[in-house]
Amino acid sequence: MSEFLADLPRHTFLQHALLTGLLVSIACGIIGSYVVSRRITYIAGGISHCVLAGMGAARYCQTVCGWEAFHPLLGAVLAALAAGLIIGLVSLKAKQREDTVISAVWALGMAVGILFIFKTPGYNQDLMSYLFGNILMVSSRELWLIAGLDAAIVTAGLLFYNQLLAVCFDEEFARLRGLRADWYYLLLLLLTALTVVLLVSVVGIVLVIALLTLPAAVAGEFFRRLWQVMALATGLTALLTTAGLALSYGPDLPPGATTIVLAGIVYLLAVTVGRLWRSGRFR
Amino acid sequence: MQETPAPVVAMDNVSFSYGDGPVLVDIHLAIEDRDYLCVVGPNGGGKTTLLKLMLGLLKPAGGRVQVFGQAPERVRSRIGYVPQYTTLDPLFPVSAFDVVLMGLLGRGLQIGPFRKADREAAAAALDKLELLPLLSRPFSAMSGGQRQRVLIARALVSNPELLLLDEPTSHVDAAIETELFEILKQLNREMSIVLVTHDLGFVSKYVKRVACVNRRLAVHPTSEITGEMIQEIYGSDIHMVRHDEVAAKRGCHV
Repeated sequence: MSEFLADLPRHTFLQHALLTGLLVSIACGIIGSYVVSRRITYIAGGISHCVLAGMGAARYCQTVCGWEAFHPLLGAVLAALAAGLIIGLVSLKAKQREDTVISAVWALGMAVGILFIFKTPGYNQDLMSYLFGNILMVSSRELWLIAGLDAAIVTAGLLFYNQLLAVCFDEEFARLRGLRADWYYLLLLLLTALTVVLLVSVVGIVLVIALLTLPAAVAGEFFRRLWQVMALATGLTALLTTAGLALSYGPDLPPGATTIVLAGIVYLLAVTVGRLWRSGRFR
Repeated sequence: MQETPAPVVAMDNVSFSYGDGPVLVDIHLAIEDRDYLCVVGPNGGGKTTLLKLMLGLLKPAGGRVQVFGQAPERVRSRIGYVPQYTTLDPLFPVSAFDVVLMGLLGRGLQIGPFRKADREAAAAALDKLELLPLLSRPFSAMSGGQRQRVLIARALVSNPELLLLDEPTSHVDAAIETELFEILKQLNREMSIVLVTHDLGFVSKYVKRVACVNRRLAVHPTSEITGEMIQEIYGSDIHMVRHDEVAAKRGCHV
């Protein structure tokens, strides 16, 4: 902890890491609250694992084909959007079992990613950083990309708050009021996809789902209106990513995993405290 | 003289099926302004399907459904719909006020927070259902009867001319049920009402006409409803037992 504070002013990579965590928290708190309330965390899990296909393909194109511009983050964005769109359209239009389709997309995305990475020289290091995150490696160019994406997600998530709330709460009624419920549902999935990409740079593909859902779930224990849940979830995510970074730095632990363990502990505490608090209050 | 206005709902020779066997056949129904129609029938008899046809959520396999003289999906803004509160996620983080405001969406592109006039309209709708003191109460912390009233307020906030309710009393106790029907009776002065229920014995003193749906549809003024008719609609022994229960419940009220 003290090492982190001492080194923070000296190392740009630490400042980048801290800033990335704080920026991503805003999108994560807002979109995570929608995802938890609408109960589509499993869809978010499917999308996040698909990101590996995009990152793997981009890395392969960079190293093997020499397409320098095809940054893994760009590949991640494309793969996540495609996965979100596929899952969304299948759940809206087709009569297939939705959970089966999500599982299939989930595993296929991983498989394609692994094939690409396996054929890319030096794949071991890349694979680990994609799966478990490398917040300490965020370059200033990536930071700008992250900031831009973050701004877009937050703007859309807040401007259409009323519509998204209505569609998440009662899709049929929203449609009867003349809202394009299908469009808003797809919008939510695409925003979820972009948020997942941001979170991948913080905690990695495998751990995304925890950071997206646990802070919102904690906030949901204490607040009963969506905007309140969003506000608390945002604050919590900022605290968790910062604490994860600070605590892991001294003992040289992986920051992504540290952040998630902290999130898990906070969630368990919140559920316990929430139960006790409510049983005391309503009796 | 003005031309006579189109009936509120007109169904001509409507049929519908979900794929395996017809759910509704040969449906003829006309609902006039300020009508108060109760749709009854056994489970799986097509009550909810009938409601969804009126909303344009389902398309008839044959025949024609018109609301206010047009295709239902074109006049949805004039229809208020009240689903069963049990179909909604009980943990969803919304307040009663949030839920009612949802009834004001869908009028063109509305970006950002609701306007002052919208918030006032939502408060007025809650007040009509005597829920104004519970405005900021979480929906998840309300009783079944309160939630059902919130959903009615959500339907009323857009000033509908036709109110459709799907089993509004199926999960509330008898006292709340009476209260809800008194509210609907008041509303009937301003709008036409169609409600679906399985509890005919109780509603017959409130509504004007009863439509019995069991694949086919027969409409009766409430004055004509007799015990034999109810037996005929529900058919089997099990339903007769339930009918007896309803009769007993009614006895308690007198």
